[in-house]
Amino acid sequence: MNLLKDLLRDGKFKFGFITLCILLFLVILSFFSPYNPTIWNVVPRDLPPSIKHIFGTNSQGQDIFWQITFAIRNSLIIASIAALFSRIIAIIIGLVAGYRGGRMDRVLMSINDSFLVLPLFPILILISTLIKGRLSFVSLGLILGVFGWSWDARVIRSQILSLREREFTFTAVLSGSKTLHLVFKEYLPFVIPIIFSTIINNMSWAIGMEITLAILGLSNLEIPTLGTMLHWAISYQAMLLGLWWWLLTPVVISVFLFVSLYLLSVSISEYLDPRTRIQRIGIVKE
Amino acid sequence: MTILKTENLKSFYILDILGIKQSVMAVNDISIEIKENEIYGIAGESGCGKTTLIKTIYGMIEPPLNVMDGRVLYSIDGKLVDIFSLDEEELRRLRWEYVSYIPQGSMSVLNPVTKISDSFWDFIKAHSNYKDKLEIEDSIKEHLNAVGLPLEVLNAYPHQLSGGMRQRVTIALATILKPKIIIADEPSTALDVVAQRAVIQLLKNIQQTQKNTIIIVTHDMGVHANISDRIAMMYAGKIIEEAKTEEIFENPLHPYTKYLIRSLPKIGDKSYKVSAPGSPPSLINPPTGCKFHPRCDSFKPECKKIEPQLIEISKDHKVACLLYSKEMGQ
Amino acid sequence: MDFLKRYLLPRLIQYLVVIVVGITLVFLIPRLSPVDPVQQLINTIRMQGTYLDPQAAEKLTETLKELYGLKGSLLQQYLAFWKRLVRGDFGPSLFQFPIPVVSLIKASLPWTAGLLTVSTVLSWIIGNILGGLAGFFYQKRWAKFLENFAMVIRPIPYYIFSLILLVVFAYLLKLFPLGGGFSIGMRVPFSWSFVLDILRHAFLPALSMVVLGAAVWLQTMRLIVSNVIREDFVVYAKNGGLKRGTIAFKYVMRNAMLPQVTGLALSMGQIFSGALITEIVFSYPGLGTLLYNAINTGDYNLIMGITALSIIGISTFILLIDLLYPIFDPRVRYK
Repeated sequence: MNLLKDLLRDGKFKFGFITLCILLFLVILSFFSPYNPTIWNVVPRDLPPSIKHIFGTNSQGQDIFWQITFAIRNSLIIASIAALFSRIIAIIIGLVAGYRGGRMDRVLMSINDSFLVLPLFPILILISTLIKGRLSFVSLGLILGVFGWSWDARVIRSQILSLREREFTFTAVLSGSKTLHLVFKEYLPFVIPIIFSTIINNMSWAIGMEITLAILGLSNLEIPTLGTMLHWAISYQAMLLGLWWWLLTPVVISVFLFVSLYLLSVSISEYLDPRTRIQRIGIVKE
Repeated sequence: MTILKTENLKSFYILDILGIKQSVMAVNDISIEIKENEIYGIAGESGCGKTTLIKTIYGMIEPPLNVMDGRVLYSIDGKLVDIFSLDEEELRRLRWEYVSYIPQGSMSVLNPVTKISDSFWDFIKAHSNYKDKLEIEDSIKEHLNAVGLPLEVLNAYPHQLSGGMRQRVTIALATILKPKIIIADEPSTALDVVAQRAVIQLLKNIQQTQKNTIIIVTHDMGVHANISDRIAMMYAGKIIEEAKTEEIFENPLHPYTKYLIRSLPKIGDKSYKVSAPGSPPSLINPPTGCKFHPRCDSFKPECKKIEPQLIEISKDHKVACLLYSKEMGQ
Repeated sequence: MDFLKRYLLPRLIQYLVVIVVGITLVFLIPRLSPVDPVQQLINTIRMQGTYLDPQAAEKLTETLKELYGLKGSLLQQYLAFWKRLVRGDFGPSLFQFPIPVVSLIKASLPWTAGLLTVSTVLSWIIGNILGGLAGFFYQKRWAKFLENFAMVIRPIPYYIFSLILLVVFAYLLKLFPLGGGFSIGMRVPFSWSFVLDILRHAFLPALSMVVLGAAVWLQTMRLIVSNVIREDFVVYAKNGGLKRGTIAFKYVMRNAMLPQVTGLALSMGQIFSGALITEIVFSYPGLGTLLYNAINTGDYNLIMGITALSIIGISTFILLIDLLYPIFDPRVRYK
């Protein structure tokens, strides 16, 4: 695809894309895992990395390599659910506020801004403490989604506001389109690119939150995710016992995941931004 | 007598679009001579290269703009100086003291977070050795008066002034150090008709009082008729005609100029106006030979192959067209 | 007067809205649980092994019942909730019964406030200056290096970065203590050695926050500056032959600062969360560690108190910045 080729010209995108592909490959591998990730003591404990166990094993008797494939998979699923859910809320609120305007807009934006500035960490802790342990990762995703829409809703709303004044809106209205029809058919194509660039950002944030909550012991610790792996590694004092591979693996994988997602998001949004498009017309010095 | 001249000036924009190098030939071999104590007008359609010419003359060369060939010479203290041979600091000092610039559309050229008086002082402090603060303050007030602005303007922020007022501030700024050349880039285009007249009149007065040179760039022939002593017509990066204002209007020679003059409305004239057919050429891939030939009704086969030079046909009237070079036997 | 109406009033209203929305959220959350939250909480606490004598359990049930008061209609509960909030009464802490939650928070607050203020100010200043320079001299190699450096650092979450710093500098290199606010057994009154000791303990947490924060400000400032230098008034200033220094500071920086001030206000919630997380990693005796202990002991009162106070504190900070903004931007001052 030409789009992909064009994007790959950007070094940032290349790195992020390749890293992400590697990580996705690991995810696919998880379906072929010889071990069930939730069962303990399937392999000898505390073994350093070797050919048989590429990343070593942990104190719970699990192979770290296969654990991490599940961890990446689950973390990504949670992040995707959160991102998807928050996009939906953002689109609805952004569209309604942008198109309706007036009082409805002001009220919605007021609430929106509140969500934007509230310190989410204490609030999330509040929630998790209450529902501790009974949190499936779908619900975790949904909860994270409930808090991630505010930035986007604003962006979408301003896009709608500028679209509203454009000529084709008047044409559509004069030709009798109904509001909903207008909004979805005509405006959505403009809104989709924005959503793409923020979806990745949102996923990154969701993973970060998940990790933080898990480390604090607030999510369902049975499910292998990047966060829960770190949690167990820390509770078992992996560092002090010299089991560095147990701690290092999720940390390194997380860093790669974050950096690659970030690079992707930055390069995509730069690509879509009309101002930086012109800058891609390079400057040649003689 | 000559205060500024260009010799075979070529400046192009060199772009790298998706891997392919392309040159926009905005100023394509231009040689003009501008005298002291005159108002020199540069006219032409949008996109013909007028602003690029101005930028090059002023020395505002930033990539992707590159000076490919030629020289720009200022006459400083009797000597001709090639401005591209000067280093950055020397060029910086020339600016505003020797030659100043009135930008197109002064809507946002003033620093939004500082007062107007700050802007004045910034420009003044950057150049002269101001010993007498009071004297300079008086000078600022004088200049504001000259452009017809009240003194309260000094204490205001740019967003509190109207467009016309901001334009006049930039004119005052341009004249504060009494430069020998003032370059005005479309000074009236962004204003309403009444403000336009005021600005043009203002520039005229300044020139008459300070006896300096004003180079005025605009596509509005009405403005040229009003203020310019001589006019240079520009097309596709080249000067195609240059003469005194009256000559251009009464006796246009180049087919393009003829189209332009004939399309101007005159009071009492109800005849049907014709504009030049077609559209301005691409500066990346301009037509061969004479750049105007695709739109010219006096087109001859040679026009496609030979590029006409700017030749003096009669006293002080130069044209670049094969119709006339032929007559001169070239 | 007009200014007050046009600028102040909407912001004051927004301030109140945020607080109301936030506190209402805090109020609603226990009610979203399908189970009786009070009973469930007590069960959780008991299961974790915290000893709750009958008196404590009584008091707890009573407090909880009053805090998100399950007596009376929803509206009555809501109003009672606000009444207690205004009095600053969050009830007794559970794991340090019967010390009131407010006292515990008061003890930890100075540590967090100190860390937060110092690191936010430092990271903002450093980030902005470096970002401004990187944007101004965008062709130089060091500018590009800074940009890439920030790009890699920025997405790393607070927890992981702090953990890395802790492992590398405290554990492996043993340059700094492993945690805490000050060494045990130090004399509290202000002696030089005490101050140094505090600084040693605060260094890594502060470093973590300053680096992460500066990376963000660097990036955004660089972006803003690279746009501002293309603005008409900067080009005009250059054409006017103004000195480079004047242009850099008076024209570029002063204008680029404006969106950064707003950005600071908006990011405060995130920065605060980051501070809490950093404190947890370093066992720094601020609100973060307090919160962590509260989580582990199921001290719901404490969690509630910290959350509510965080919301109010951050909103107030944002309001302050909003009120200071007109000093920087005259366009807002006069219409």
